[in-house]
Amino acid sequence: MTVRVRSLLLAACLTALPAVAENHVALLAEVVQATNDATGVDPGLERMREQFAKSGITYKSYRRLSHEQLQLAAGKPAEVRLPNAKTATLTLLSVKGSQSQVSVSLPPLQTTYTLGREGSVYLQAGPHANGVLILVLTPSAG
Amino acid sequence: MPVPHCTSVQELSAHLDGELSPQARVALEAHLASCPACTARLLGLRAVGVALRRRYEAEAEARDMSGFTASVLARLKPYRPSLSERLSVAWEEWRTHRPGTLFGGMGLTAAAVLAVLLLPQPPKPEAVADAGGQNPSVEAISTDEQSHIAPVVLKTEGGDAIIWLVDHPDRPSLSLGSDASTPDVAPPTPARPKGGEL
Repeated sequence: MTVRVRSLLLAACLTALPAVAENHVALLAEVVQATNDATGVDPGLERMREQFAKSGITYKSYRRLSHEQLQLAAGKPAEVRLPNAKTATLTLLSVKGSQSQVSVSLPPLQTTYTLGREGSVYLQAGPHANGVLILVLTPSAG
Repeated sequence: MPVPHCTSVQELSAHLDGELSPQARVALEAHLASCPACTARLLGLRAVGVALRRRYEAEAEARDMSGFTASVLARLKPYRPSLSERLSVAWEEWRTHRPGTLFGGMGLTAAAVLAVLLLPQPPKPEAVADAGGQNPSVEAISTDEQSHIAPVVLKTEGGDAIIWLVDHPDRPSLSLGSDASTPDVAPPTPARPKGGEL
């Protein structure tokens, strides 16, 4: 391999590096239990309760059971295990600027989202302990 | 050798045109009464005048003068004063005859300009569009055919997306949990959402 060819290959690799670096996104995954058997809203979930109430979904209690910071990389699915034995599988499909496309598999639900810098996605994740689990996905700075 | 005349052609012509003074006219007519030569010359001049007038009248009648007025008017260019001249005239008229209206209007205009400059500006369309693009949107959504439930996509006022599962109307009912897991107020059940509806 000549020096000229090696130089060209090195330049191509260096050019491709930023694109690879951009193919990841940080997400905050929270698991919240909503129920009418109890009362009280955990700190930071007041807005969620308000948004749900305005959408016609009213629970008396919102408890955060877990939260996890995820670094999604393209082609590398990440899993979030839920207390009701379900597992959510998140896969980064693409990143374009500040927007990323993420697919979430939470059987029997299959969804694909475009996430920006703001807002959250709330997914009902099935029943759990006299309540319902909600998986909250929020873009984070990482 | 030409015979000298008593009266000149100019004097006879002035008499025919009525240009002689009363005294000169009386004296000339007294002379003509006793001078056949001058009378003959006067008749000759009158005949020439009549002949010329008939000739020019015939030529004038032969010409088509129907468009004469229109052509003359068309060649006239209306006078249009310059902008500064018009403004100057308008200013003088308003200042002289309607000073209250003039200065009151100027005050109102100045107040309106100040109000526009000082009032808070609405967000630019680009900023709104950008903010809209930063919220999540659902591109695709589906459930297993055997699950007996269907997803409902709700968009909150804050731009969040809620994916809620409800019993599928065409399938046997599936309880999502005990009574405590059911919200007090059931969420709206719009038609099955399509990808990118948010």
